[in-house]
Formats: sequence, C-alpha cells, structure tokens
Amino acid sequence: MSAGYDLIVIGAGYAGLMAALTAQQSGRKTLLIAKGNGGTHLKTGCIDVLGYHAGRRVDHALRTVSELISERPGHPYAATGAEALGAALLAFKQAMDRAGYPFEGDGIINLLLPSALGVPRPTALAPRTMIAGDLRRPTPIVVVGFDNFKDFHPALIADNLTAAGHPARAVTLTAPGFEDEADLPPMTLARAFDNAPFRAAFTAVLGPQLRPGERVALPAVLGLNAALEALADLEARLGVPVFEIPTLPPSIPGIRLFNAFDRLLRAAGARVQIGHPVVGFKTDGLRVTAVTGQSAARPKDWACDAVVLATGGVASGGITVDSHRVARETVFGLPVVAAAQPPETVNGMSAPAAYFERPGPSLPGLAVDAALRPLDHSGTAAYLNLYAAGTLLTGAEPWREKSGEGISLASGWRTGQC
Amino acid sequence: MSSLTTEILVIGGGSTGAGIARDAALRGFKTILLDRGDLATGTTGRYHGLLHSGGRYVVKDPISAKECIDENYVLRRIAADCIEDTGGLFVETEHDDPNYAAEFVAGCQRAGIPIQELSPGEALRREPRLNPRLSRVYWVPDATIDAWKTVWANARDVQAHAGAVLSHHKITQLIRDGDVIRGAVAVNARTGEAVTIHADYTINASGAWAGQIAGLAGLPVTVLSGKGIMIAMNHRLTQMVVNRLKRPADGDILVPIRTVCVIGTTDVRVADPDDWPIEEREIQFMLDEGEKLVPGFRDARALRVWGGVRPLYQPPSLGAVSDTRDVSRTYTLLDHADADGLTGFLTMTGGKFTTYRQMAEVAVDAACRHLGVERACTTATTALPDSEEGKFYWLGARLNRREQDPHGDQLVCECEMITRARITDAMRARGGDLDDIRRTVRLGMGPCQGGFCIYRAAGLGHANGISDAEATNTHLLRFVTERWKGVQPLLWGDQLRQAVLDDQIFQGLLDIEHLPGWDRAGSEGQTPQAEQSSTAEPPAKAKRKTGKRKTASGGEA
Repeated sequence: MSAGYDLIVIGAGYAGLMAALTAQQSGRKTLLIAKGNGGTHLKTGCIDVLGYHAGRRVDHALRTVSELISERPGHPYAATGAEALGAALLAFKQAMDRAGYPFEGDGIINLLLPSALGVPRPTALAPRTMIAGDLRRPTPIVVVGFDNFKDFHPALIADNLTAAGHPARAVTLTAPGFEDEADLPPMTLARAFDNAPFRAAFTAVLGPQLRPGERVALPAVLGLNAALEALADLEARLGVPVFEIPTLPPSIPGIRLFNAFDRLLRAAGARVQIGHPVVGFKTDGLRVTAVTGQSAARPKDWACDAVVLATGGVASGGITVDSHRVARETVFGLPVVAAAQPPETVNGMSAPAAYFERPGPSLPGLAVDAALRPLDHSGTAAYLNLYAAGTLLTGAEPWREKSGEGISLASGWRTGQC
Repeated sequence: MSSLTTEILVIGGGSTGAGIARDAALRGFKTILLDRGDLATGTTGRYHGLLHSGGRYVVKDPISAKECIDENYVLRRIAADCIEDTGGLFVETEHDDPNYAAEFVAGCQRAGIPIQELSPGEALRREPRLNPRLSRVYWVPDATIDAWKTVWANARDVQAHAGAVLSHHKITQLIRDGDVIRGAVAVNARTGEAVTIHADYTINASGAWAGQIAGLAGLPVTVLSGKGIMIAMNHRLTQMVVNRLKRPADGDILVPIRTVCVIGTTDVRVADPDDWPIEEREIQFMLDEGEKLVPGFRDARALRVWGGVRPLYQPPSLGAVSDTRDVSRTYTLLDHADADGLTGFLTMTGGKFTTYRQMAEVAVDAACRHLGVERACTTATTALPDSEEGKFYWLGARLNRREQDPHGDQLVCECEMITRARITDAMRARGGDLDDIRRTVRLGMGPCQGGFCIYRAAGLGHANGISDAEATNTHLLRFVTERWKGVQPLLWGDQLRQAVLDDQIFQGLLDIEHLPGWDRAGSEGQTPQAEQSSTAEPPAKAKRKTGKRKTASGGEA
C-alpha cells in the first residue's frame, strides 16, 4: 500500500505520541492524526508510573507494578506487561535526551516531588527542570511565587511542606516588567523566562532574599522553548539549585514535552496532523483499511495497514456518556466497559459524598486482548489490525494511583510495534 | 455560660427569620437573629430563585397567588439589587390541557396579576430555544431573586439597627417560666459554648424545623417537609422564567438565575428535613420534562443537582396528607397564646421566599400586640442596604466592571467573574470557609464547579492570613467533597469531562488526598452546619483532627 501509511495513530496525548514515535523509528511510515492536543497540556509533565498502591505511597515503582499486575488482572498494566513498561520508559528517556529535553529518574525507584499544594508527590520520571525539588534530599526550600500569577501559592506550599517534614519558607515577588498586569497567564511568564534580560531582572530582585544552603522552587513556567538554558542561567545567577513545581493547566512542562515529541516525529519523517478529527473509517472484512479525517474543506480518507486508537477517555472525548448513562467510543463505536453506575440515591442534605471512595472503575473504557486490540461484544478482537492505548483502556484509577503516563507510554510503546 | 438579653429573639436565619429580625429591628426592638448554621443554608439557600408573580398558584391556591403578586411589587421596590427583572412566561405545549388557559386567565384577573398574551411567534422570537410547538403563551411579572444576597441584606440591616446575628448557634432549650417563654439556650456549634438568651418575646421562624423547635416547649406543631430537587444547567437556556401553562407539577419551571438556569422541581414528602435522598429517577424525570420546554435539554450541560425542603404547615384538622403538592403555599402564624395558653412565643411557618416580608410583618404585628406596644411596620417602604437606588441587578455588571479595567485585578473565578479583591474582602468579612465564600460571591458555582478557582481562593485565604495552612487544607477538602455531592449524580456529557478534569487537577496534579492535616475518616458523619466556619480561626474540631493525623503520618514518613 504505497499510497497509504503503515500505521495511523489517532490521538496526540502521551500514548499516541509514544506509539507514533515508536513506529516511525522502527522504519514504518506513520501518520499521527488528532482532533487537538491531548493530556500533555493538562498534566504535570512528569511520568507517573505508580504512586500509590493498596493505600500506601509507592517507592519501588516497577516492582510494585508487578505486584499490581498479579493482584488486578483487569488493570491496563496487566495487558501491557511490566517488561513493556520498563522498555517504554527507557525508550522515552532516550527520545527526550535526543530532543534536548532530558528526563531523570530510573523508573525503578520513585522520585518525591512537591505538588502545588506542598504535598510530597511520588512520580517516576521528571524533566531536569524539576529534579532539584526531590524531597528525599533534606535541603531547605524557598518557594517563590508572583503576586501577579494566581495559579501558584508559595506560602501555602511552604507551610504544607514544612508540616510534612520538609522545611520550607515562601517569598512572593512581582514579576519584573509586568507590574501593570495583575493577571499573568502562564504562557506569558514562560516566554519571559526564555529571555535573559527578564531572568537577570528577576534574579536581581530574588538574589538578596536567599539564604545560603537553600534551593529555590518556582512555578513550572521556567521557559517554553529554552527551559534548560533558563534553568542553568538562574542557577548560575542565584548560586543555588532551582526547580519548578507543576501547577494548574495549561501545563508548560507538558507543552515542552509535546513540542519535543513533535520535533522528533517530524525529524524522523512522520506526518503530524493536529486539528483533524477522525469522523469515519473504511474496512475490508475484519481489517480497517482507512480512516477518514475531517480537513478544512472535506472529509479525507487516509489508507493504512494498522491503526492505534489513542483518543483518550471521557476527559478528551474519546468516550462520551449521554444523560441516559450510555457510553460510546466515538471513532469506531467499540463496546465500552461502563464505569460503576452512580448510586440510585444520594443523601441530599447531610453527609458529604465520599469523593475519594468511589466504587469500581471510576471511568468507562475499552477492554483489550493480549495484543491490546479492543474487544467486540463476543470478547474477541473487534478488528484484526486495530489497537488501543492510553487512557482509553479500562481498569485504572490513573489520577488517584498516579499511573496515567506510565500506562500511556507502555501501551503506546507496545502498540507502536504492532 | 454567657448570657445575653434582648427584646425579640428570632430562631431561624432563612428568609423568614431574617425578614422578621429586620422588621423588629426597624421598629426599634432590640433583636437577636440566630441560626444553627450559616444564614440561608436551610430551605432559603436551596431554592431556584423565583420571585413569583403568583401565576403558578392562581387556580389551585388563589390566596397564595394574591400574597405573591402583592409582595412581588414590594420586593421590587425594597430589594432591587437582589432582583433581576427577567419577566416570565406561561407556555402551553402539546403536553398540556388546552382548557387550563381560560382558568389561568380568570385566576390572574382575580388575583390582580397583570398578564399579556404573546403570539407563539413573538414568544419564540424572544426565547428561541422554547419548544416550537407551543400553542399559547402569557407573559407575567415573574422575576428572579438572589436568596443569599437578600437574606444577608436583611441581616446587615439588623446589625445596623443595634441587633445581633448569631450564626452557628443551635437551640437546645426554650426557657419556660410557667406559661411564658422567656428566651432560649443555644450552643455555639464551633466552640461548644452554651449561651443563654433572655428575651421578652421569642419568634420561631425555623421553617421545616419549626416543629422541632416548638417541640422543645412541648408544643405539638406539625410542619411537613416537601422535598424538591433542582438541577442547574451551565448557562441560561432562556432569559425569562418559563412555566408550563398547567396546574403546578414536577419539573415544569425553568428559572434563569445569574449565569445558570435551574429546572425545578419535585415535591415529595420526607420524614426528616435533615435526611432525604436525591434519586436517579427524579433526575431523569426532570430531564424529560426539560425536553418538553426546551428541546435538546438532555444534551445541555447539567452542572449540579441539589434539593431543599419546603415547610408546609399541616393544621391538626386536616388529618393525614398524602400529597404535599396539595398543601397550601400560604403561610401560617401560630399564636401559642391562643392555641396553647403559652405566651411570649409564636411560630411563623409555611409560605414562600416571595412572601417573606409579609410574613415578617404579620409575625411582628402579633408580637407587638402581645407586648402591648404599637409600632408601625416600615419594611414595605424602606429599601434594603445596597438597594437604595432602586436599580435592578444586571447580569452584565461584573463583565462591565472588568472591561473598564481589564488588567487591574486577577479573575480568581472565571466562570462567575469574581476578582481577587472581591474574594479577599469577602474573606475578611466572613472568614476563610470556602463554602461560606461560595454563598457570598458565588465562588465555584459555574461550569468548572471549583476546578480552577478553589485552589486559587484557598491560596488567597492563606496568603492573607485569614486561615492558617491546616484550616485552609480543611476548607479546600470540604469544598471539594461537598461539591462532589451535587456533581456525582450528574456524571454524563460535558460535565463528566469537567469532573474528570477536576479529578486530574485535585487528585492527579495537587494530590489533595495526601494533604497534611486531612483525616478522611473524620470528615464523615458531620452535618454541613457543624462543618462551617466563618471565622479566622480554624474550627476547634479540625485542629484536633490535625493533631491526630500528624502523629499517624509521622510514622509513615
């Protein structure tokens, strides 16, 4: 099929990006097509593998994933396997090194980084810009925020870190040069940190307020295109370690990560089509032969040998649920494993609902076979050459257990080899 | 035990109690208004916000209809800042009995409600989303009113007239001296401290809870609780109140209030005003009825479901009531001197938000008679604080202010356009409890249901020294769990997407589940009233829990 693609990946989140890069680097002609940006722009920009399991914080991430797989055969990690997870993390780190946006952490032992509320939060891999925040080190922290940036509250972070046994204090500044703007968007601050004159003005204000032996925490806006340069420059000017803490969307670290993938994909010869929702598909028997993308003028068919569906779950519109509680997979109409139904009644007045104690799978998703192919109603692969990856897979509580990116990279890496 | 002395003690800080307290204070009585929780958290803060024209009641409850239209005009004069003059429509659809219209028109004439018939085409021009198969439409002077704003305006006026407002005080005892009630004993829900309030006259305005309060004096008062549920949709599907042209029933009214519109309601008798369910089948029924008013209603975004209980007084003569829809919406003054031979105490219950001021006038008139004084009521002509200019609330006001100075302040809550200054002012006045701030400035009530703004607001309360970190964490977690109660039954469509994004922010990004100081087990089994805190100090309870948790997590770390 010379006119078509060896693989079409639908969706541009962590899973879709990883699947497309894996396929293209193995020499297969790959198209990544997506309605819009994915989870990268909303999440921390770190790679969570498994942060909490059985009510406990996880230190040994990969080892605990193996335990999880034996305890919960319906979990997406059981479908991807622990070996694929390890291989995917390694491939991801190598790719990000090549892209000039390096990640640290070994995936075996979790890092412990502060959240934007000052909670010590486990994660497996983090970009170099966050590494100095590892709370397993005792260095006292000075959390620095801006009174003209509303998505980061240094005093609250510092108090909560201190209460959790990690001494911290707070400093609040006005972002220099933006004194007349009370409501700075994160992108504006990130672009400012790309520029040396802003960094010089910023460090001139902050420097005198630092004490020897501290490390500096900032909101995750340390540069959009030149983050590593910005980090090195700030550390040189201040003479102390500097790190960033991810905060409310849009995620600057996530956007950097997306941009790194995008550069790698294009450099390797893959085609990336963002802004093109997939509105249909063609089949020949049990094989998908083409997907139909909506382009500016008209629907266009893209021929292919195989498809990876990585449209995300309900958060990104890969699955919809209507007011009769009927769930639908939006591209292929695949059977959806429903989320636990809400209780028939909730108490309207007294006890608050148990936000953290939800029964069963909290999100609808797809069930897959050992090759990560979505199942039809009879329990066999719906199409022989259709694979699913990422948040679409049922059985995880990604936000609670801190497993989202690990599932996406592992399943993306696996399906990218299909 | 501390003690206070007053002339008039009003029990219940909903619209009725706040109205009574203001009425008494304006007549020169030394007045105390008391509630077991925050003001307007019982029935008043849980209704859809309709300022009735009376049109809904003209056929089945004409007395209530007359009360409504009279007070509609009064409130437009005295509470303009709380009212949006939306107007209202009564719409006959293919589902409605065409014979009802004649009864409706005659009833409106009898009650003195001005109506105007619109052609279906004109009605659809004004409200394009309405069911296009509507056959008959009448305009009425319905409007919407902000219940919290109104109650707080009344309370502020009580304070301005040397009165006191005691929120979070639960009555434990009425002080009975022979056949006279001489005040009450209350317990501060936050400190546990008891306070004795000596009063010349005590007015029971506790609505659906009036039977419980009267019971403290051994008086048999039966107030039925008629539960109604409401669903807020993420924007205003109509700009006017829309009623079905038929006898009042479930799911037949759409009320545009502020940035949302609310469909209501149901009416189910419940035994306990503090313990009742919201059921899936009720929600589905409301959506089906919504479709009849606005086709496509099911596909619109539902933000939140909640309920409230109407106080419906049941006279002893009426016997058993099977359907609370049949209990009159008019109000009832129970003068316990006549009925029970007990002086110094009366109960005012039943009624509607729209008639709260008239209820207050009648109650305080009765108290004056018993106290042997003659003082005229002035509430019908004295504007509430902030309503002196007589200008109605305008939905565009916040956007208009923002556009005057787009960079001058932060928008902490984008959905409701609430600035940092406004939230900080509210916190300085009322403390850092985010649910109290929600009721004060509508924080977190828009489409994101607090997903973005609650982190910001919590950080502001802490940065300004209003709450320490422990209290801030508690406020944040309580807000998130409390919101979940209203969101959880509506997890479909775009609001499900929003809920997942909010999970990703609260749990994934911020990891609130592992905040220091949060003891999840301790959060269960408390009433919302016990949880509320509106002082700079964190609640004593939260502090205790924090200490416990510290020991536990110290071992883990």
